[in-house]
Amino acid sequence: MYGDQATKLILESKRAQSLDKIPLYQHDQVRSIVREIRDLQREADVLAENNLSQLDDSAIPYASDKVKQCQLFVTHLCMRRDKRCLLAYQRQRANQIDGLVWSNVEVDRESMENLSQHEQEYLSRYNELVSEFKGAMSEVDLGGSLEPPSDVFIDVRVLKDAGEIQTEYGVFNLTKDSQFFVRQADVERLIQQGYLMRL
Amino acid sequence: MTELPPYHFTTSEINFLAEQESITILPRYTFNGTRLIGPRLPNLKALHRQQVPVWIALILKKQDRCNVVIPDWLSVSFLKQRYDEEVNQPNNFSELPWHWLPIAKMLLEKCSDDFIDATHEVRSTLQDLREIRQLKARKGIKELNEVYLQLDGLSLMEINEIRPFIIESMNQLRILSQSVKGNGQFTGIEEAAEKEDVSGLLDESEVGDYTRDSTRDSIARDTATTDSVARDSIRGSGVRSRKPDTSYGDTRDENDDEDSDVEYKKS
Amino acid sequence: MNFNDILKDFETEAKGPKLESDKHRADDIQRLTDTWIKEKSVPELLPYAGELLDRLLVGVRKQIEFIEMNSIELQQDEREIKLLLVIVENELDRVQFLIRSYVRVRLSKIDKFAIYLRSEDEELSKLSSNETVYMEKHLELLMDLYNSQFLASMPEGLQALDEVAAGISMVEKPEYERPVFVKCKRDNHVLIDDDEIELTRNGIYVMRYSAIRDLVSNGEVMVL
Repeated sequence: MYGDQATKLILESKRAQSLDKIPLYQHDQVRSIVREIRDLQREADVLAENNLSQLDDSAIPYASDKVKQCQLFVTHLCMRRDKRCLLAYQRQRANQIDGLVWSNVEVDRESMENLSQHEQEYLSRYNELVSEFKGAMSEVDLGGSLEPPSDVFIDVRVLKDAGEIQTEYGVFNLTKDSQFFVRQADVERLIQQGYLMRL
Repeated sequence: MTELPPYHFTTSEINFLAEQESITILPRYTFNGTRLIGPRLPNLKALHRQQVPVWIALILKKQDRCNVVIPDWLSVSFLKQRYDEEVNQPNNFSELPWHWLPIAKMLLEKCSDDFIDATHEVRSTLQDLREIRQLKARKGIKELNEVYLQLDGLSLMEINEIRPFIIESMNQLRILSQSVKGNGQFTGIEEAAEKEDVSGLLDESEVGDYTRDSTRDSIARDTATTDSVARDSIRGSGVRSRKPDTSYGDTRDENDDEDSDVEYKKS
Repeated sequence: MNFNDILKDFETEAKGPKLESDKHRADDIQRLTDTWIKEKSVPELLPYAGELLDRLLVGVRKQIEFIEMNSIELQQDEREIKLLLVIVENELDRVQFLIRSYVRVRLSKIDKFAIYLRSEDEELSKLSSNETVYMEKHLELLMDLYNSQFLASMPEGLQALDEVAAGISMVEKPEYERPVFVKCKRDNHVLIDDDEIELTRNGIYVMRYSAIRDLVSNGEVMVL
């Protein structure tokens, strides 16, 4: 039935919203919807043609005219609906790509392969645009966390020797059981790796 | 960018705002202040009271550089008095600082030794106060209508907790009531339906300019019957939300207003 | 040059002849906070707070330099200086967060309402020049994407992206009717559906944004 493919695409979009990865681009469905739109357009053209010729024939509209007019109307509705679904699908994916760009993480190959070629191009161009925008306000890392800062500095204890680390606040020699008051951002990785423990 | 901002604040954002408030400290040592982007941090003299933002107070406290002067409102007697007010005036919220909840929490966590009252007593009184106010706020929600709601005396954190529910409900009520008033205009209903699910989003009744006027007219006439049926059924449910006074009659009459704690006026 | 010299330099610079602007500056963080809350809470895009941000960015830059100058030669035993730097750095993080969040909230509105914003001069004037460039380029990228993906292969009559056929517009506008929470700075009144509603000083209300939009913009009510 007309519109079925489009509905599937929208359901796919809905599902994708709750995924943390962008699913594979649905080439076939998009293509078949475009084909459906073209078919509908041809039909609409024929219907419109018929309507026109009948109007010429007689001033009084017949019941069959109404049916034809209704057909034409519904045909147009189907086309617009298909178009809206395509746009909604693509916009949703573009939003997810934008999110990837802002999150500042390296896009892995698998995620990249799920994007269509045009989407990959979009990603790299949007990435450029965002860098440009960020560059105009270099005093603030605009891509940084949107969570309010808390505990900028923390006390840590060294769990295993980790050698020296260089920070803005000087060099720390991380020997087991020593304690330091450091910037959280400087030692985040070491905490994750189990070298340091937050007190 | 992805989503539109949610129009409300996260708990950590409210905490952040609370940390901007001023508080009095009693420095334990003397030391020089410094220039900041905002108001400069003045030189601190040992045992001379000084007002600073909460976030600075907490840093100094953590380093054992100061004691925090616990605000008067964070005492058992003050909080008990407010609790009594809450009980005695069921239609109002008692007056408390705009950030009473997060500030109380931070000070209890990080400056418990600065309290004069026993902290477990402060905690439990705070908890009582919080609960009775939550109960009031919840009761007030039944006064929801599409025009407005008045909630004097709530603090920011309390507002933030009920905000998503209130905004979404009021919005839906307005959309429904508009579709009723609109007298045949379906816009409101479509708007409401759009929010419901995906299929609603795609339910379009658009008549483009791609058909001849005559075509459009005849179709409009053809569909008129079904239209009015749909409209009537929706009108039925719309009235209920538009005039809460009548439809909520069983749960609420004039005297019942005593019960409602959120001030509610509707002309 | 030791730390105290730097500090002294810093002080004299701060004391300078511009006491007026100093006082001005003291309120800037509060202003930024209010601006951030407002932008986050209302459905429409508000005018860009350019002057305020420019002033604050100067402050941010100075503090970054201050930290860089002082932190390098910092020794472990200089707890006092370190404490000051901790405070400076904390404040810096806080201001940077507010600016970042403000800018990002605006960008998400700009993305969402782009087609609407660029159709109205009044709306367009709310954007900074950077934001305008961003909006135009992002739209262009999206158009290219739609076109190459499917739009170009559709019938010509269907290729527009700003159609307003009877019933539904493709152009997304801010939900002006969306309710917001406000606190009144003084007594006032508003009209909603032909009903006049009294607003009392310090009262907290929830009502549709369209009804109090003017009072928000002239500062008589605060959005929460």
